[in-house]
Amino acid sequence: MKAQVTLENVAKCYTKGTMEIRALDGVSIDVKRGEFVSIMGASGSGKSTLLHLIGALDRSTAGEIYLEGKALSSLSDDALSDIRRERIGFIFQQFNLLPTLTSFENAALPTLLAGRARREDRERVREMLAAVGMGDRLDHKPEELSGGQMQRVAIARALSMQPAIILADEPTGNLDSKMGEETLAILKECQESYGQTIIMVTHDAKAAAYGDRIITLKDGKVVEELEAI
Amino acid sequence: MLSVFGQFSLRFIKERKGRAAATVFGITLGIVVIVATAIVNRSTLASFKQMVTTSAGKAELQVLPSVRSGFDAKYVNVISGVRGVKGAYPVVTGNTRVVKDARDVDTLMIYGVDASVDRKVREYDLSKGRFIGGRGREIVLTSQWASDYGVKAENDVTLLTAAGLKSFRVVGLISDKGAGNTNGGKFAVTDIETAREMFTRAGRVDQVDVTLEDGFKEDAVKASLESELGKTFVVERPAGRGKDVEDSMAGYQFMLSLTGSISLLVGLFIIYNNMEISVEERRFSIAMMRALGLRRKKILLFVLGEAAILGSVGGFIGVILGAGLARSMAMAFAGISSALNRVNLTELGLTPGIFLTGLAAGPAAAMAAALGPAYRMVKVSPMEALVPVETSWGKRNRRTIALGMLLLIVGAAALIALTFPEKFRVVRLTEDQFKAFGVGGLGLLVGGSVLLMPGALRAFLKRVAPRRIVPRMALDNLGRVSGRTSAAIAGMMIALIMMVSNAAQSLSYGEYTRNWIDKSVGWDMLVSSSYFGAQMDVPLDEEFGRNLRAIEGVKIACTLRFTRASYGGSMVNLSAFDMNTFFRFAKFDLQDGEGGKIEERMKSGEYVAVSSGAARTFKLKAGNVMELSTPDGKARFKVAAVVKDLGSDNGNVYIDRPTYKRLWGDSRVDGYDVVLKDGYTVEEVKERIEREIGKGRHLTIRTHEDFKKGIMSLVDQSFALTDLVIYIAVFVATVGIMNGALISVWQRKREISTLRALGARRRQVSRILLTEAVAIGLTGSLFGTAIGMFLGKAMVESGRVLTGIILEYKAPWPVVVWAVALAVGLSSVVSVIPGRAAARSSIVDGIRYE
Ligand SMILES: Nc1ncnc2c1ncn2[C@@H]1O[C@H](COP(=O)(O)OP(=O)(O)O)[C@@H](O)[C@H]1O
Ligand SMILES: [Mg+2]
Repeated sequence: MKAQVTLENVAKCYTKGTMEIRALDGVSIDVKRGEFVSIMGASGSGKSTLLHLIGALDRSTAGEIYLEGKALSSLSDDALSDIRRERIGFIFQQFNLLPTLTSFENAALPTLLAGRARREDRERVREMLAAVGMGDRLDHKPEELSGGQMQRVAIARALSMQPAIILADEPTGNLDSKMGEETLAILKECQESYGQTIIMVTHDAKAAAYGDRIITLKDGKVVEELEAI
Repeated sequence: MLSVFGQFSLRFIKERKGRAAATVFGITLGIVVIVATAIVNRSTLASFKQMVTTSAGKAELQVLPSVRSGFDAKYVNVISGVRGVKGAYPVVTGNTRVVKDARDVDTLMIYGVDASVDRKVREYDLSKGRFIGGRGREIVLTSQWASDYGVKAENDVTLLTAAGLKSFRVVGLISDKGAGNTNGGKFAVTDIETAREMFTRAGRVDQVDVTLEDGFKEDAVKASLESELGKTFVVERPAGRGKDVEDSMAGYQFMLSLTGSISLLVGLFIIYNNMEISVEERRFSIAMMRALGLRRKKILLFVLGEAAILGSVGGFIGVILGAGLARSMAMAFAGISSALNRVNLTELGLTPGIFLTGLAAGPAAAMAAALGPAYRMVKVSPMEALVPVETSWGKRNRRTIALGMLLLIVGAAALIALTFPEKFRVVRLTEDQFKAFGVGGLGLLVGGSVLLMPGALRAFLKRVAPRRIVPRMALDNLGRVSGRTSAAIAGMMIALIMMVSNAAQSLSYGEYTRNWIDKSVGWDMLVSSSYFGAQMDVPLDEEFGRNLRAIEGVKIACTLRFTRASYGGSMVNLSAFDMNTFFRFAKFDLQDGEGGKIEERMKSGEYVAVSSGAARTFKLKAGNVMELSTPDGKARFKVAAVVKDLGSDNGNVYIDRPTYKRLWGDSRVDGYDVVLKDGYTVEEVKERIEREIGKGRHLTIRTHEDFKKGIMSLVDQSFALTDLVIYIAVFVATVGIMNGALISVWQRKREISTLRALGARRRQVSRILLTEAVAIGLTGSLFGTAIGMFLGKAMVESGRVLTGIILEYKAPWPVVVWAVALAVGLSSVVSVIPGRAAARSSIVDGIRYE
C-alpha cells in the first residue's frame, strides 16, 4: 500500500542575518495510513520544522512532500489551506486558542472556516468537546480555563473536521503528567477507533512510547528509526 | 551600561531592520500628516489673505473716506499737518478691465499714486524697466501678471476708463515683493492724476497712507487725526481694513485650525501606535533583562533612547516628505478650484518654525508613546510579562451607553437652543460666546458618539452575520482595541461632520440665493460699464441712460448707483436706485415693514430700506430713524422696511437716487436695469445697444440668466475653499484608519497565523481586515453624516441670529450619500494593504514561541 505521507529528501533552510541555518537536512520518511509515529530529538533538532512542513504550514527549501499522493510543492496557497482545513488536525504545544472565542467557538473554528454551520456540524463539535471532557464548559473563554482544559479544547478543534492526519507538536509539554497521559490516551483512541494517522513530536520517551514507531532527529537529519514491539 | 543599551536597542535596530523600518515609517507618516497640513493651511491662509488685502507698505495708519466717491484732495495737507504724522501718501484706487482684441482679459486693481514720493511708503521691487514718471498714461505691472498674459515692458495694454478704452504704456515690471503682492498680483500702479481721469475722481482721493514720526504712538495719532478730520473720515491700522478682512477670515481660520488639530492628533496617534508595538514586541527581551537584574529605570532609559533615535530619523524624513506632499496637494487643488488659483507658491515652503516643530515632534511623540507601554511592562513581574495580555469588550457597556446618550442629548440641546430666534432667548450671547457655545455643543455630540460607537459597531456586526467567522473575528478585534477603533472612527466622523454641514449651508444658501434672484430681480438685462459689481469703479453717466431709453425695444432703464456711506462710525453699502422706475418692475422681498406703503415712502426720499444684514448689525427695525453721513454733515431717514438680501456683511441701505444725488453731490451711474418691451428678445436688444451706443465703452450687458449663473458660481466658490480643507481632513482620517489596521495586524499575528494554520484561505483573512475597515467607515460615516446634518441645520438656523439672513434648511442628501460612499470606499481601499500584510505573513513565524 502506498504511504499516506511521504517525505523525499526534504530540506529547510533559514537565513538569519548572514548565517544560514539548516533546520532540516535531507529527511526521507514514509508514514502509512493509521500509523502513530513519534518524533524525538533534542531542542533545535528540527522537529517542529518537520511537523510544519508535513502540515502544509510552510514550504520546503528542497525535496518533495507527498500528502495522500499530492506533491505539496505543486499546490497553490488556497489548495494548501484547504488541505490544512479538511485533511489535517494540528495540535500545538501552546494551544493557540483564540482568546475572544468560547470553547465551543474555538473548537468549531475549522468548520466555521469551511463555511459549515449546519446543525449536524455544530452537533459534531459538541460531541467532540464532550468526548475530551469539555462538554460542560462550552461557553468559557480560554482565560477561564486551565492549561489541561485549553489543550482539550485544542484537541477537540483538531478533531472537529474528522481529519485523516493529526499532527501534534509536544502536546504534553505544558501539562502535568496526569493531564499528559489523558491527552495521549485521546490520541491513541483516535488511532484505534477512527483509524486516523498520528504524527507526534515529543522529547519525552514515555510519551513517545505510545507510537508504533519512533523517529529521532539530530541537527536536521534522521539518525534513528525504532519500531515499537 | 552603553553596551547593554547596544544589546537592547542598537542590535534590535540593526538586526530587525524591517521592524525598525516599520516604526520609522509610522513616525514618518505621522510627521508627514502634521507637516503637510501645517504647510497647506499656512499657504491657503496666505492666499486667502492676499485675495482680500491691499498693500499698505510701511504705512502705520490709513485715512479712508466715509463715502465711496472719496474726499477732497485738500485734506492730504490737513493730514500732513497733524502732530506725529511724518508722511501722508494719497492714493486713488479702483478696478478696471484689461481688454485685448475687443475681449475682456482680466480685472486689474489700479493704484494711482504720487510717483515722486510713493516709494517712501511702498516697496516697488522693479525687475524690468523703470518706475512711472509723473502724469501720462504709464503703468507698472507685476511681473507675475505680465508673464501670465504675455505682456512685456514697453508694450501697450488697453484699459477701460470712464472715457472709454485707453491705451497705457507698460514702463516697468515689479516682483511680488512688497506692493507687487497686492490683490494676488492683479495690480498695477499709475500716476494719481491719470487714475483720477480713469475713474472720474478729479480733485479727490480714495485713501491716504500715513507714516508716523519717531516716538509717536499709533493710537495717539489716530485720535488726533480723527478729531482733526471729523466723523466723515475713518482712520484705521492698515492690516485692519482690517475688520472686514478678519471677519471674513475668522470662519476660515477656525476651519483650518480644526483640521490642523485633527491632523496633529492623528499624527501623534500614528506615532503612538507604532512605538507601542515596537516596545510590546520586545516584552520578552525586556522581561529577560529584568530577570537578569537590570533596574527598571535603566530599561525605561533604554526605551526612551531608542524612541529618540527612531523618532529623529522618522521626524527628519517626515518633514522633507511632508513639504513635498503639501506642494503637490496644493498644486493639484489649484488646478481644480478657481477660488484658489493663485495659491502662493512661495508660501508653500518649509518655514523654520514648521521644520523645527516637525523635527521635534518625531522624537518627542515617540518618546511619549514609548513610555506608557514600557512603564506598564517593567511594572509587572518578569514572569507575567511573558504572557500576552488580552482585553475584551469589557463590562463598561451599560454605563458607557448611558453616558454617551446623555452627552448626545445635552450637545443636541445646546445646538438647538442656539437656533432659537433672539427674542426667545433668555440670555443674550455675544458672537464669540455664541460660537463657543456651538463648539461646545458639537464637542459633546462628538464625545457622546465616540462613547456609543463600540456598541453601535457591535450591534452592526452582530446583525450582519452572527455565525459567520469573518465578521465575528472583525468584531472581536474592533472590540478589543476599542480605544484605537474609536479614534479611527472619530477622525472620519469629524471630517464628514464638516463635509455634510458645509454642504447643508452651501445648499441652503444656494437655494436662498436662487429664490432671492427670482423674487427680487425683475429686469431682463443689466447694462454697465464693463464688469458690474462692488469692485468696479468705472462709471457711466446720465447721458448714457437717456440714449439707452431711446433704443428700440427698451421699455424701462432704471438708474443704479452702488456706493458706501458712513453710519454710526462704520461703513455700510448704499444702493441708490431710481425708485420711480424701480418699482415698476421690481419688489422688495420683505422681512419687516408695511407692504402697502413702501413704494410711496421710498419714492418720497424721506425713507430708506435696510437689508436684513444691516438690520441685524445696526439693530434696526421698520420705523426707526437712521442718520447717514453726507459730505455736508448728516441726513436723517426713517426705515421703511427690512429687505431680504444676499451676503452677510454689514448689509445694504437702499435709498432713492434723486435724494442721494442731491445730498451726496454724486451723479455717477454704475449701471442700468433694463426691462424690454413685449415682443423683443434679449439678444436683439443687446445687439442694438452694443451697436448704437456701446462703441468705445466696452459695455457689459448681462442677462437675467447670466446674472443668476454668476451669483450662483460665486456662492459655490466661497464654499469650495472650505471643501479643500475638508478633503484634507478626510485624507488624514483615512491614513489613520489604515495605520490602525496595520498595527492590529501585527498585534494579531499569532491569531491570524492560527486561523491560517486551521485552514483559512488568504482571502478569508484579508476579508476580516476589509470587514473591520468597512465597519469603521460605515460607523464613522453614519455618525458623521447624522451629526453633520444636525450641525448644518443648527448653523443654517442660527444664521438668523448671526447674520440676520433667514435661510431655509435643505438636507444635503446627495452629499450624505457621497460621504458614506467615500468613507466606506476609502477605508475599504486602504484596508487592502493591511489585508495583504495579514494574508501573506508567514504562518510558521506567527505560531512559533521562542
Ligand atoms: N523562522 C525561523 N527563522 C530562523 N531560524 C529558525 C526558524 N524556525 C526555526 N529555526 C531554527 O531551526 C532550527 C530547528 O528549529 P525547530 O524545528 O523549532 O526545532 P525543535 O522543534 O526541534 O526544537 C533551530 O535552530 C531554530 O533556531
Ligand atoms: Mg519545537
